[in-house]
Amino acid sequence: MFKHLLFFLLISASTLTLRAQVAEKAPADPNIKYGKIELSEFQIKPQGKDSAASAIKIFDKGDLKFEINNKTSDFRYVFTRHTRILILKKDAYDLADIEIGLYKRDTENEEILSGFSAATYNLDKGAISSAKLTKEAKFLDKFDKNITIKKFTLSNIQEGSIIEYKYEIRSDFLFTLRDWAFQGSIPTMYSDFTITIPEYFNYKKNIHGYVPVSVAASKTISQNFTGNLTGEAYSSDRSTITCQSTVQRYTARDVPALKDEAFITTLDDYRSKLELEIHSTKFPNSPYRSYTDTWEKIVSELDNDQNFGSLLRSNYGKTLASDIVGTETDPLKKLNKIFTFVKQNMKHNGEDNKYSQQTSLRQIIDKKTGNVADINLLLINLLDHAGLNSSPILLSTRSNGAHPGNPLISKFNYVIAGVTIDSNKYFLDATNPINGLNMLEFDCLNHKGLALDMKLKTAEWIPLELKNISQNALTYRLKLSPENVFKGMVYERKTEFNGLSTRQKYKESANEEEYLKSYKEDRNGLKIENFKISNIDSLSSPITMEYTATVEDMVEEAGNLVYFTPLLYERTKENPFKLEERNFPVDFGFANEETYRIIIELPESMTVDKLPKSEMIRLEDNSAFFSYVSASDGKSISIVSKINIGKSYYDPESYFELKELFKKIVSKQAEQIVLKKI
Amino acid sequence: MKKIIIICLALGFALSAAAQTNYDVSRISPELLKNANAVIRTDNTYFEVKSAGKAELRTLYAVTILNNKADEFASFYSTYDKLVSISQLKVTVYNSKGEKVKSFNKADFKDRSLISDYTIYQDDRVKTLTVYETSYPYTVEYSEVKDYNGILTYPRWYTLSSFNVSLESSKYSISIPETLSLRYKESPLTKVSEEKTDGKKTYSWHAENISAFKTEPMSTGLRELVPWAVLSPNEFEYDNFTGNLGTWTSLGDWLNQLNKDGDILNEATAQKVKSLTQGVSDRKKKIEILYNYLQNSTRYVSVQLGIGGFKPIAADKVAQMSYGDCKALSNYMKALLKQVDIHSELVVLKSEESVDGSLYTDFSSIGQANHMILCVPAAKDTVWLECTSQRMPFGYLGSSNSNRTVLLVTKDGGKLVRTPFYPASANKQTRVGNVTINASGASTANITTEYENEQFDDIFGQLFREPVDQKKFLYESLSIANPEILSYAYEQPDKQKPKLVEHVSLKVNDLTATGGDKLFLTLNLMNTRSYVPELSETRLTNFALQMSYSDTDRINYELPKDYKVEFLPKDVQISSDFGEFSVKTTVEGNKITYIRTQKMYSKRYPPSRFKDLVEFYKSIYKADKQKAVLSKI
Repeated sequence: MFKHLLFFLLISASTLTLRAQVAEKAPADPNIKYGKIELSEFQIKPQGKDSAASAIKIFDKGDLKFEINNKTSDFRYVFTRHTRILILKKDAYDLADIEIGLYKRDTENEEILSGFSAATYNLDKGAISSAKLTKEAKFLDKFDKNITIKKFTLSNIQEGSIIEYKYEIRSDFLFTLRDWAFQGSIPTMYSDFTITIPEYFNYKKNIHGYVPVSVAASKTISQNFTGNLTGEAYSSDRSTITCQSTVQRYTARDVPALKDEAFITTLDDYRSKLELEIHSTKFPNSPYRSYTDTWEKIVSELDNDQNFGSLLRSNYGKTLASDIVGTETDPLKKLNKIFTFVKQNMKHNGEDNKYSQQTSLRQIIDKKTGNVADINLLLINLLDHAGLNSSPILLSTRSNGAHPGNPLISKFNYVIAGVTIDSNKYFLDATNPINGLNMLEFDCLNHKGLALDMKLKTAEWIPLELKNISQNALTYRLKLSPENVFKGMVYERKTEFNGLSTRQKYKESANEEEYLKSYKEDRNGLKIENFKISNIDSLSSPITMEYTATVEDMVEEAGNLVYFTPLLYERTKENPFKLEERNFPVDFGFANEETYRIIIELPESMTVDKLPKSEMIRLEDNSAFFSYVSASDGKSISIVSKINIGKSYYDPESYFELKELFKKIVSKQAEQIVLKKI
Repeated sequence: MKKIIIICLALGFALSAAAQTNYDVSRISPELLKNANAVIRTDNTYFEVKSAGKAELRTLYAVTILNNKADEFASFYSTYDKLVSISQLKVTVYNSKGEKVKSFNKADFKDRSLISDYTIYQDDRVKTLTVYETSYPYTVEYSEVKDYNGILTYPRWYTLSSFNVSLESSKYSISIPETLSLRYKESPLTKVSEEKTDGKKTYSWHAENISAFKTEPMSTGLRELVPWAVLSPNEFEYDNFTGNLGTWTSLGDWLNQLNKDGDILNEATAQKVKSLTQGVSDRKKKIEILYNYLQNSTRYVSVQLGIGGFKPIAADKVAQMSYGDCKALSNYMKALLKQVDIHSELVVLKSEESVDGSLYTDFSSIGQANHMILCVPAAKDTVWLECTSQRMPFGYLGSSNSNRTVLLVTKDGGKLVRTPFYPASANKQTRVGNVTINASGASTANITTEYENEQFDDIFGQLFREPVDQKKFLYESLSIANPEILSYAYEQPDKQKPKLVEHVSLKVNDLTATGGDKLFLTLNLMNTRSYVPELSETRLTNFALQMSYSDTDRINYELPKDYKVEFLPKDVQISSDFGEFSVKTTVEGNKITYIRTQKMYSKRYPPSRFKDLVEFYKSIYKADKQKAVLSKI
């Protein structure tokens, strides 16, 4: 048995770090010749966990090389792909509809598809029959002015069909090359990607995921490029140049299908794939050019970018800033004034981006709407003009996936503002009017951000966890009547993220009546009077709610016994962790604590028969616990139930303990208080 | 009811953006602001038919957005394709005083293709624009002019279709040359006004001042409460085809013509059909064999281009490619049957999950339908075939096709018929659970559940999922606290019958709740009603129960040796026109048998009955929570 031990993937604060070693020896390659299907390939069965897979990729082979584009007189890459899939079940018929997206920026820079061929193979009484892709099964969809989607539909698809296709894409976009995913939604027997890169280019290669990928020792070959190379960068008097190119090959075998799980960021974060981003270029007649070598360089480039740095430096915001601030001198009050102004006057158009759509601050202000960068770069500019020390923080949202950590600009898709006042650090996101200081929406809770110092041209990773644990405290003070109806007061107090989500729900309801309607939706038998909610608009304070409650239909009787679950509506009824095992970390996004207190005054006619016992369970490292405390003096009962999830992120190793914790919560919170009628 | 004031005026229809643009918000009547997040100020449509295949559509629409809940009304889209072009498109934004803030023209709209998830190709495109404003209220005015170079349908008039939106004024007007004719169907709350001038006929509708309706649970919508009208051409020209949609008969005639000679098969396929059915004499068996052949040799791929949106791809082509859309596959199935001299007919219908997806019996138009299936008529045993599914049991239609009026495309033209109805007694979920209670640890439960007909629809997909996903689904759907699945299995005893059997064997850690030395056992193991809709004092819209069904749960509990039954809840029996519900519990030795039955009837009900439904659900909710108390011997 050869050893596959190529990549150990370590997880540290949601980043996948990578350690590579070189392969020893790989098993023989599968038969990869277009149109040559072996009878044995129809007999392939998926193995292990994927044994019921609806299809299996027999191989997926990619190749990426460079050539000269005579139209642009510059290099472009040629990406070739050849894939063979065995379709086992009807569910996988969609795989026979192939879609390829092509990007076009202008007439000079585009992606071109060529040489698409495809066929379906079926086994019919021991003989292989084939059906080629016909002309009328090719469709072109001009999605918008930049994106064209080419579609191909294969014919004669049945359970047991093998489909095969190959194509080439030529692309002028050399900043990032095509990603190669070794893992997909169906199991892959063999995935092979070879890149050949001329010495003029140097790319960063990032591998992600949990599947071993073997990297063969690189080879150097000599390549000739012929074409009309007019650029200053090349030896201009020759139409052919010769250079050394590096060939690197990546292979993965028996890759399982990737499946979704709960409490993750985005499934793509866990997929095994190779990403290539330009690092530097060195052409014969021009100096070495580094692209995103260091964070310092990235910051300098951002600083010069007209959709980023020049907006931060714009003087257009000066008057506006002083108008907003007025005579205020207290830094924190100035900060709040500007933050409020931007939130109230700019509307987020729903798009995430680290770059502004505009090149002037004036356009942003006039439009009153924009993407994340439009809004938050304006915010930073105004804060700066108000004399506050403000700087951008870049981040990658949960749905965009974790940033790998190394200097890589393309993985960021969001920018917020960071401000330091009296050595207190604040982060601000003005895209949602209900965001307070240090408050981010769930999708931004991806654990870390890159704080930029535009003056020193430096950057450092900072934690973007919510400063405090998000609390949800509920207190019920109720009196039980002899008719089994509870009456009394309910108080709720919600901080941090819990406050944000309540604000969001409240703001989204047409009015208070609608809000209460949805509040009561899963609280059958609850009547609410004298409802009061505070601090809806006071974003830095916890939300508090109180109301007079009448609770019916909660208590049951059996002979002279009366019983109910004291958690009333707040029971955790199901364990969110149901699967036996889990490979991915559990990523809650924020730390959370729910405290439930109830004090029940009993009627004269009842006494306590049985109370649930006090109990406590915690994770070994104390990072989460559940406690349950019951007490009674005979006339009244008090129960306090507390669930504390102290961290926003847990390693997969903690999964079992978390599952046990929630198992205890579900069973303990279901326990009944038993009263006896006298 | 004073809610609606409609004034229908016969007026010469003048429509221009300059006509009336005072969008000052203070002019809106307070009555219209109640419960409203938006007020439609103007909604004017003018459709001028120039000939059977040419028309111009002019639209002027203005809406005042009162708060952020109505932001969606500031998103606009206009669709077009090779037969419809947009010649003018404009959006203007006004502040609360009615002063112009900014405007957008056609070039500011984003242009993209309009492709639905299930379609691989269609030629429709859309231009979209979203207005973002930060201060409320504000008003957005939208106007467009479109040219039609092919007509199959006329725009409809619909005053209000959303809750929490009011309407100030809406006008609809259509004019056609005298040489053409149209038909319309209008709501009882409105009346058309007709006019004849210069060789043109004009039909107009008008409504004013309709106050917003509040959202209501289980509502069937505003259709009965607001004015509307639907229209259809008689004579038409579309993509080089002509026809008459005047009656369902003539509409069927046209579809018949479109499909002429579309059911001829090549020799190889004809031979295949012969060999498959050789020696089979039973007619129904033949249909079944060919249906299974269709299911195993084709797949669903949708391509909609021009007339291709209505005309099936020829059967021969389908045989060659082995794929097609609902029309192509239904027609292909028809061709297969024709080979063995079995006559069948294409069926045009509205396929959707709703209480009534029927075509209007008194109003024919092409726009009502969205699907095609096949009917194999017989004096007694008519067979209906849904041809796009590779797995649908033979002759089963599913809830989105059943129980509705559909159009049969016969050689004599279109004929309206009803598809089969699956009554409550057919849509069964039958469960038997055997549970052994363990007082100190995990109880065990073996549960077998049979799902039939429309209840089978929802669960059928489980059969084809991978074990990981099946298990995940089971864990998510089992409403039992802390279960641990020991084993499970799904089976479809007969591939040709809509019935699925699910066996689950469980370890349940918290089957009983403790209260000191007593055990509390919720008798309803896993079929619990947890939601009772809120009752509002002034309900206005009708409501409906979506599906007719009957559930039976029979759970046998074996008690721990040292426990006895201390208390059993009373039996329950409720009967109403919504349905029947009963619970019966018996004890024998150390065994409790719990039997729960629930039967519900899918029907529409008037608003006044909602309180009865809430009461009905409440009783079920209470009964489902009932517990037996067990105590130590």
